[in-house]
Amino acid sequence: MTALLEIRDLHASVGDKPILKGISLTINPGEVHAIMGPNGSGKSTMSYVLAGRDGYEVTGGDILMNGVSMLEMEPDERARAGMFLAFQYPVELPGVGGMSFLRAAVNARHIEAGEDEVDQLGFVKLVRGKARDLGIDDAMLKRAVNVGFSGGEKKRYEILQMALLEPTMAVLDETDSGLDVDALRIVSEGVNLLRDPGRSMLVITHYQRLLDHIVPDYVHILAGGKIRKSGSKELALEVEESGYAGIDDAA
Amino acid sequence: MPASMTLPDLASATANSGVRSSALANWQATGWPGPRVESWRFTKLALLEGKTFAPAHDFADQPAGAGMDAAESIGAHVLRFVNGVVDPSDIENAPEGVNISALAADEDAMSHLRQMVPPAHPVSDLSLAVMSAGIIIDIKGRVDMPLMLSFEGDGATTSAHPVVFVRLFEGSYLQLAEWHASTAGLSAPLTGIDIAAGARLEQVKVQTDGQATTHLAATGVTLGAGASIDGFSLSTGGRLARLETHVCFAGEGADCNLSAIYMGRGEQHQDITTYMDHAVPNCTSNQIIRGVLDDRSRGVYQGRVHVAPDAQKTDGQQMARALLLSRKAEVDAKPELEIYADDVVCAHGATVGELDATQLFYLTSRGIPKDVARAMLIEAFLIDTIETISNETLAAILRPVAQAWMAEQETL
Amino acid sequence: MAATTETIEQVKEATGTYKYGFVTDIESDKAPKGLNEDIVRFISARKEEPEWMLEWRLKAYRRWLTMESPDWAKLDIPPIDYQDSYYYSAPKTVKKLDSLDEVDPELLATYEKLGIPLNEQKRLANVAVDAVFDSVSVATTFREELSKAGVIFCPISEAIRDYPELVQRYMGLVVPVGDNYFAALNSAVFTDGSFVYIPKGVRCPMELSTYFRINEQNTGQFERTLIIAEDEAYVSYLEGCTAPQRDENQLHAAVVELVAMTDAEIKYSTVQNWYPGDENGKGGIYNFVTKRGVCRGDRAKISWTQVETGSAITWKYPSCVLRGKDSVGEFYSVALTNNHQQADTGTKMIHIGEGSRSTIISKGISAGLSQNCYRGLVHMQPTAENARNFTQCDSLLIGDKCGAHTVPYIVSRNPSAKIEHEATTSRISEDQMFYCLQRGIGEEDAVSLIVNGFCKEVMKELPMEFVVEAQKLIGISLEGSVG
Ligand SMILES: Nc1ncnc2c1ncn2[C@@H]1O[C@H](COP(=O)(O)OP(=O)(O)O)[C@@H](O)[C@H]1O
Ligand SMILES: [Mg+2]
Repeated sequence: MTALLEIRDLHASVGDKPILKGISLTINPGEVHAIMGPNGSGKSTMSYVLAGRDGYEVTGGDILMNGVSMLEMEPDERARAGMFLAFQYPVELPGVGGMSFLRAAVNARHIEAGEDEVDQLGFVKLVRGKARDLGIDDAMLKRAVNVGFSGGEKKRYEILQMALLEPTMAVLDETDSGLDVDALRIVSEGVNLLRDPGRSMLVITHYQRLLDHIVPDYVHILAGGKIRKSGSKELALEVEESGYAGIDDAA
Repeated sequence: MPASMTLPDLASATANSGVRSSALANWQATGWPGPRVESWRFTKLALLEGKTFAPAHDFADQPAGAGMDAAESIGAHVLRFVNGVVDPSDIENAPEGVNISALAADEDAMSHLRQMVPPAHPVSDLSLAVMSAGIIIDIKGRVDMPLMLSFEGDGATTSAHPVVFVRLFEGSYLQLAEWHASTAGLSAPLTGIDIAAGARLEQVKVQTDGQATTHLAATGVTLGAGASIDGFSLSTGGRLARLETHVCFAGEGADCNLSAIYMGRGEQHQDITTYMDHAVPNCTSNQIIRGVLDDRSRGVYQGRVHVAPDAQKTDGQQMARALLLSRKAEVDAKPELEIYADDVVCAHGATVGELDATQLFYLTSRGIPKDVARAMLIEAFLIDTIETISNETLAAILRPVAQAWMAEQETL
Repeated sequence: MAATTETIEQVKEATGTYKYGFVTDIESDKAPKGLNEDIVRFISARKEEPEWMLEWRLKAYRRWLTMESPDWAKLDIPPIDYQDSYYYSAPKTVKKLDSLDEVDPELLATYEKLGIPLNEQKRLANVAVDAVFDSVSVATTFREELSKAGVIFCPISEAIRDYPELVQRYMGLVVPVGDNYFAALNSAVFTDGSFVYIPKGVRCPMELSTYFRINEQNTGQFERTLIIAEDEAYVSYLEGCTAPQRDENQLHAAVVELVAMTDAEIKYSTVQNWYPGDENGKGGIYNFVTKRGVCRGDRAKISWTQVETGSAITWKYPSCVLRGKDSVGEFYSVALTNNHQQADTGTKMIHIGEGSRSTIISKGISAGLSQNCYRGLVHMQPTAENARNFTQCDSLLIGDKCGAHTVPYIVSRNPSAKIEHEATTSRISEDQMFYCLQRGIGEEDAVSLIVNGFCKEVMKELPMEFVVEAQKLIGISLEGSVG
């Protein structure tokens, strides 16, 4: 079986500053991996490198999706190949209407597949349905993307996009931050609904509490740009109790 | 410096009117602004040097332009100007509440107009002196049918000098659209808008003059107590275009929204210049200015908010942003605050730059191709501003113009 | 709060409002009144200058004759009679500059009174001071310590004699002789000022400071400062200025040039407290100053910080020419005007180098009948790939008879360059005032407190030693503006 995502000894820099210093990770179809780590350890950097953001330069190693290297691919090509990133800090797009944005994203996939563009009315219905499950009301859908959304609303909107774009590889960067208990439950349920034998997830978080809802198959601890420890979901509990201190030393 | 541009029949254009001959004398003494005039430092009129223009004086019909279609789409009553000369048949059947009369016959009105329009602007003198058409539009009560002033024209050596004086009487209401689609050599509309106490004007201007046209518009607005104006300009036309508007707050509690978007490509030069004269207390002014510049085009925004001593409780806001799409595009901006009263809230902001990389990444990370993502952001940047227009009827005629500009962009 | 109240009280008791308004009674050697080529020759001769310097001055003088006083600023400048002023005045007893023993005790006392002790026992810790009295430098402290580090810090008149090759190479490079009317005048008649040279790789071991004092009546002060930081050098320099309280206006037209090479950093701070005139607008200094620095090398950095509370009229735009790749320019300014003062001040950031960055933070405070204008230019040249500018200009009005103006010029010739400009104008909010009053803080102290808070971003850029002084100065300068 080919891995869905294989990260091989990945090194990456921002500007001249090396941040990822040799990460290897294999994710098979259907698996949920969690990445935990202290602030500044490189978690978001890793998510950007996977999504192909400009300025995040891969200086060594490789990223393969379904056995194919993604390094030469543009962010939109990666996205259409099944990569999805739920941003830690989703950016506001003033003037870009939510519906037309979502439609453009879905249509880009249809066009590439040589299919017809989505039917406008049907699409609105589809979006509304999925939005309702996530507690997103019509008014929010009508607004410009992320503009004036609260922290929690932005996170829910990210998951809505994931539900619509049906990625094979979803990277969730601190999707739990800024959520209260109820919102956390709603978002987690949304994510869990998307768990599928053909879809893998990489869940980045600080806290065990998210992993109570989205139960991972594996947990990795990232510190100083490297994976210091990997294990089962119990590892997350360990971290919750004793912090990252011991893990740094172990490396 | 006298003008090097010549208008052969200038003398005959001004017959025995005190105001007009004084305007003519002024024009002849000063001409186009020289290189050291501060308010024209970013916009040079060198391309008018040595040109000879002849103003038209008789109405000559032409096939109807886009302005007429727009007028029809919103059910507006149209006043049609061809080469600056008004179609006499449009003057007659004006809607209820609208009265149209000849400006040249009314010395008091001309004198009043002259005090309102931008004082140092050459068109303020020149077009009043030449006046290819001069009309007064008086508004009484609430006029529900929008009014469209449609300006067309042709001829590289024709100059158009329409002068329009709109007077909204106390408590009246008007929706006014202005549409410029002229290929005349020089388009020099002079406009006075006098909004009496409690009256309200909702206004849009579309400037889509031909690529060889020089469009120099001078507009003066006066707001009485509690009067309000929601004005919006969209400027994509002209080889060189300058839309200059001076607003004078003459009565307390007046409110002015004056926004504009401009788009340039090729060698175009787009200039938006505004002056908010807060002469009395308790007024608000708000401006949103956005520009998109491609190729070798150049954008200019100059905006001054002046708050006179004692004009307390003034709220004056300006936000100007420009987006540069090509290596050779250029922008100059000079937002200015000139404040002589302390109990005020005034602010301005200006940004210049390319499309935001983070926003582009967000869109592309969702699988949207880069060129589509760029177009979406540019359109958002423009349309967002149009969405601030309170009058949906008028906003509706702007969107297609912005979208048409975008569509051309994509096919380039 | 107590400290501020105390200072205000002390100052009031001691000297009235302007605490530096006294006159030192000292004999002086003066050039005849007026300005002509002979006066230029007189100055050059008194300074024992080489021939090339005289030629340079004469060239500047002739250029000045052809120029006109700038009229574009928002300033109402009464006509200046350039023939009714002395262009050279020096304390008679000054001979050897580096031996403090020979400095007139009157002068030492003067500087002590100004809070700038020059003698060995009382020197400011870790601050080397060059004291310029009217037209000449009277003392420079810590010279030995500095020369050990290879740093040259001396009066410019001395540098012209001792380091002619450096002066010839750099003087007029950043501010050419004909740059503007006042710069041309200065080039013709400058009398003293400081020269600083930091060799490659040297971090200047202490703060350098020049203290300018105008004492004589009817005397203009035309100082000239040149600071050169070679590759990887660092220096922090501070100037302070005061003048006696006099009824007539006096002209101060300085030129400051900074050159920062690769990886060098120059931090230039000013606490300008020239006599502002009295509350009726009588007297005061005309402060017409050209200050400009060039970041010649990659990653060079020039930072201007100014606290401008003095002068009847200020015309001043400390600027940065950002030539080097990734070079950095900063301008932090507090300009406070009260009574009849007028200020037109700001900066120019000329971006030439790729990745160059600039930050402008300007805080204007207008009180009384004063007019205070920020005027600035941010220019992105076609080569300024990925350059950045951020500008924040805030104005505060105290009272309804003053004016606050903001006139930024933004010129972009490179699409990848990003410019962000923000400006606000407001007054002290009633909520803030009430909050302070409710806590028992008096009105004047509350204003001083709030204004200092308003200026905080700029104040924190000043060298530590001068922050407290500058804060007090703001409190004092605002006196009489409330109530
Ligand atoms: N754009 C950037 N420029 C410079 N340094 C960056 C940039 N983005 C991240 N870094 C640095 O990279 C390190 C890792 O950051 P990040 O990936 O955001 O950590 P995490 O998400 O684990 O908190 C930090 O030291 C951060 O300062
Ligand atoms: Mg992060």
